[in-house]
Amino acid sequence: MNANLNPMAGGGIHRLSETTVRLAEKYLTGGFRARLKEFESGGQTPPFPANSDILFMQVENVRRLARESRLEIVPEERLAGAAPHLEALRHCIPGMNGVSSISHTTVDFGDAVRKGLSGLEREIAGRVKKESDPEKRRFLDALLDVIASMRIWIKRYVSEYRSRLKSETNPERVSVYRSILSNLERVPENPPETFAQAVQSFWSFFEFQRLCGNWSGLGRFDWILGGYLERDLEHGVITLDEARELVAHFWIKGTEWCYGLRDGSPFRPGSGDAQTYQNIILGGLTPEGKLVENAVTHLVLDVIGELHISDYPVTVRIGGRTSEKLLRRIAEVQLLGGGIVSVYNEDIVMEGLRRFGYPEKEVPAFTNDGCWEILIPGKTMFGYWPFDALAVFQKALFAEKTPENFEELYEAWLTRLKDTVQEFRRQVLTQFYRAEPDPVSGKVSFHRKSGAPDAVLSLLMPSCRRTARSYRNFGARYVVKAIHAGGLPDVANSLYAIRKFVYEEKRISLEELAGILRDDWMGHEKLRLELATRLFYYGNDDPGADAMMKRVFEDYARIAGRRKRVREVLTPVGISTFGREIQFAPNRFATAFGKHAHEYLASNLSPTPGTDRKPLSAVLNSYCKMDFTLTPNGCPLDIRLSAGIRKVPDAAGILCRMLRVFLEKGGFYLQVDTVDPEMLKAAKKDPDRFPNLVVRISGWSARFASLSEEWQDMIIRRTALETL
Amino acid sequence: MTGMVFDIARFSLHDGPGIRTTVFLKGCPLRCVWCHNPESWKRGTEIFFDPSKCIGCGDCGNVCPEKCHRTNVGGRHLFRRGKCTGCGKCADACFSGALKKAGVRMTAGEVWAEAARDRAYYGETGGLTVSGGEPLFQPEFTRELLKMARAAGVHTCLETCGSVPWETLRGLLPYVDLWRYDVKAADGEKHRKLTGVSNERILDNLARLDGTGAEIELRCPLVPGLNDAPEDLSGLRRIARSIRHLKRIEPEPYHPFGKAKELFLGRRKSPAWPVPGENELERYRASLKME
Repeated sequence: MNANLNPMAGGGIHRLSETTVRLAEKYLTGGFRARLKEFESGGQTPPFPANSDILFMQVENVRRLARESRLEIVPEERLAGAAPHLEALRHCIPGMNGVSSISHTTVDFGDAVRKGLSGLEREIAGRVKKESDPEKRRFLDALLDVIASMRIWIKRYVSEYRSRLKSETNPERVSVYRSILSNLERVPENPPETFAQAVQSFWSFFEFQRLCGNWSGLGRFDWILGGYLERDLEHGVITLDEARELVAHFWIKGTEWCYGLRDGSPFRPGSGDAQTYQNIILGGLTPEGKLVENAVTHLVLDVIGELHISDYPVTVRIGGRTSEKLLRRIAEVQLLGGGIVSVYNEDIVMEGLRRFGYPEKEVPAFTNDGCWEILIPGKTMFGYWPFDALAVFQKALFAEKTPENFEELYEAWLTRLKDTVQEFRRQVLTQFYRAEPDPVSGKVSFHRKSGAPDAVLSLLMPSCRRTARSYRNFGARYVVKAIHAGGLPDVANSLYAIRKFVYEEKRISLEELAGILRDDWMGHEKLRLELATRLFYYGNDDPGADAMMKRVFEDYARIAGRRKRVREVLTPVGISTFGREIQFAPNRFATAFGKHAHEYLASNLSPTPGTDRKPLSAVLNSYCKMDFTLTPNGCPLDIRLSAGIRKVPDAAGILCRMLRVFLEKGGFYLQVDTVDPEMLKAAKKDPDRFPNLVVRISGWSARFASLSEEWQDMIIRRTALETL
Repeated sequence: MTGMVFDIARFSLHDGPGIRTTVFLKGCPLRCVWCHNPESWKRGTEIFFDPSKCIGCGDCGNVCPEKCHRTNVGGRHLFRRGKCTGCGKCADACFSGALKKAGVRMTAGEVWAEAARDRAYYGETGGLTVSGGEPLFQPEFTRELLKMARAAGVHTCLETCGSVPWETLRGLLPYVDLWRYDVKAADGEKHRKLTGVSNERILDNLARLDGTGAEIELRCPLVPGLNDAPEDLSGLRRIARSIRHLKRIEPEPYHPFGKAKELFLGRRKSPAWPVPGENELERYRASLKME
């Protein structure tokens, strides 16, 4: 392990070449980022004829990007193609600045790699012949235009490499260029014949959609590529070390949008420079019931372990059939810090999807979107609607009418919750449908709203090709708008404290307590301390507190999940904060379990910071008491281990056991970070010393130095309170 | 069957193999000058008092039957320990965390119920560790607890200083899978100076324990300048070599976490011992390394 890449690691296994490690350092410190430029400087209007429609403009723009975008070649790289335009970092389409690109989905790269451009072209051409609707024909033609554009872009790289090869004298570079050219002769035009070609083809499709500004997830990397590698290894076409280098280059090039430190870029987001939702899934079952656990699975973990690259958040689907070898490898990488690799309990995830109503044949294919929200790749248009459940509860608490008993208070909160769910459903209807009253009968009928067509991502979505409709125009088989509650542990803790102190012990009236909470405990420090410390709250394996959490969890899941769709739009239930603790805080009053107003409280379904007074096993036990098949869109637990755990004999074995218990007890999604709180503080003071210190945020990991001060403080605070 | 317990540490990773629950029992025959757990010495409940957390509410004074607590007008809290019987009422009334109980009477069933919550985490390697203080100061309770773990198929460890009658140790043999046995100095005089008792019985019990075929890990607390001279380490190594059923020998580096607890227990402050650095730890490991 290179200390420059991971300051948490002391030693480790070096498997990658020096050239590759140096290249990683260069990218991670913003070396490539410095070369990114606007595609259209000065905000010029694209040269489109007046009255052009958006599909026409988009297709023309893709062609322009393919023809005119800068080619970027770093001589050491083993994969060709770059997305060097700044507009993409603003979630916009380069060349059509101001038009939003697409994220929060995962297209089907496996399908594209297997078919190649020629296969996709044949499929679409066949589809056009059968299509009589002129609008749909036009859309399919647009997809064919995108294929043609991608060919232009690839050809430009081929000719650039050829010209460089002529003048190159360094034998190592000559060999790399030849190998790239040989791959590009075959892919992405055709189905790959080797692992190297498959990696290049995957990269080409992924990078082309990024060139056009999109942020798709990558999906099941090892399932897509594993077969090619196994065949090559069997026939001696490639060695495992050579394959690892290729995978490493895929990871390094994925960081090309990374800012590094020295760049005072105006685009720097508070949540880090690695949050571009480029998720990768490893492991898990296939629809045929086979377990994906191959050489590529392990190579990816090797590369993350050695280079400590967090830009592809990686989640491994583990379950009852996962091997001990893979679990141990996951644990080893998790112990290196950064929280880059998290896990799904796929048995529970799939059960949740079945219960929601997804067809059995779709269920095993699941991947995720930007963070960990579950979706079926290549078939899903995804979005979610977050809300603060604690704020909803506090509205009920501070209502004019004071409930006479606990059940009345609980009902008042459920009523507010139902109103919130209704509001969500109303907004989904408005977002996706146009209401038209019949002029005669007055009866309202609903018509789908058309979003801006997108031909690039739609090309990579089999269901869009089949329906001949764009991603944003109901082309995806599943249009999903999930509802996500944040702050549920804070609601449960509040209710638990109120039941005990107000209604059981009658220590104080609800009215009085509400007044004290409004005043943020002013003059009532003793009461605050008593409420904070006398009870054990959710996360301590306490039967009473956990029963309250379970009740709140199940009521939310029941109310939000009672109806599974708004017309055609699926509305699965999820629980998340994704770091929204920061946004929620200003609108929150003090809580009955002893927290002050505006504090950063529970993330996802993790215990509220500072309330988990018992160790890790208690946290995991409490969390696993929920029935996660009721939250098919996801419900994570975040845990942070102290870096000291690595000194314990067989620390990986211990973490491995913990993962096994997580599976046995029916957890859903676990994010494990190993952190050194002192190092975080030092990194805040002196970021230059820790340029690539990576921490888990929530559903993604970030270079600590690239976080805004507000985010850094939240991480430091919650690390100090929660590290186990 | 009840025992006096001063802590139950779930998800403990330092007290034997795997993930364990460690139960700390009150009472100890030794008075090690570096003691990490000074609250373990006495058999009865003691009260920790951390004045920095006191908010001056005066509730402790209201509930104390012996009137040990007094809060001045300025909010300064005086705790007269001389009359304290360790009833713990003050700590029960204190929510600021200024007063805490060290030692709670529990039944073996209650303790085991807490440990059994983590049964799933123990797997094949982890389990229950009974520690202290000196758990063999409460041999009946310790036996009861270990029996319960055994009955549940859980691996058991006992951490002992060995300074008890052999008969007490022997009575536990059927219920202990791994003995984590402290040897704090090979030299008898030095041992007496550092712990207050001779190591004669400790070493004799160790040899007898080995004679039964019990699996043993030696733990050697080491403090720079006190018991880590080359002759100390070679003495420990000699003892280790004489144990036929030794599983491993581990240096237990001194840490100063017991210092604050002395203060909170109203004890006289012991000297500040140096904490071993990485180089010293490496030297300990190299010197104690068995073939």
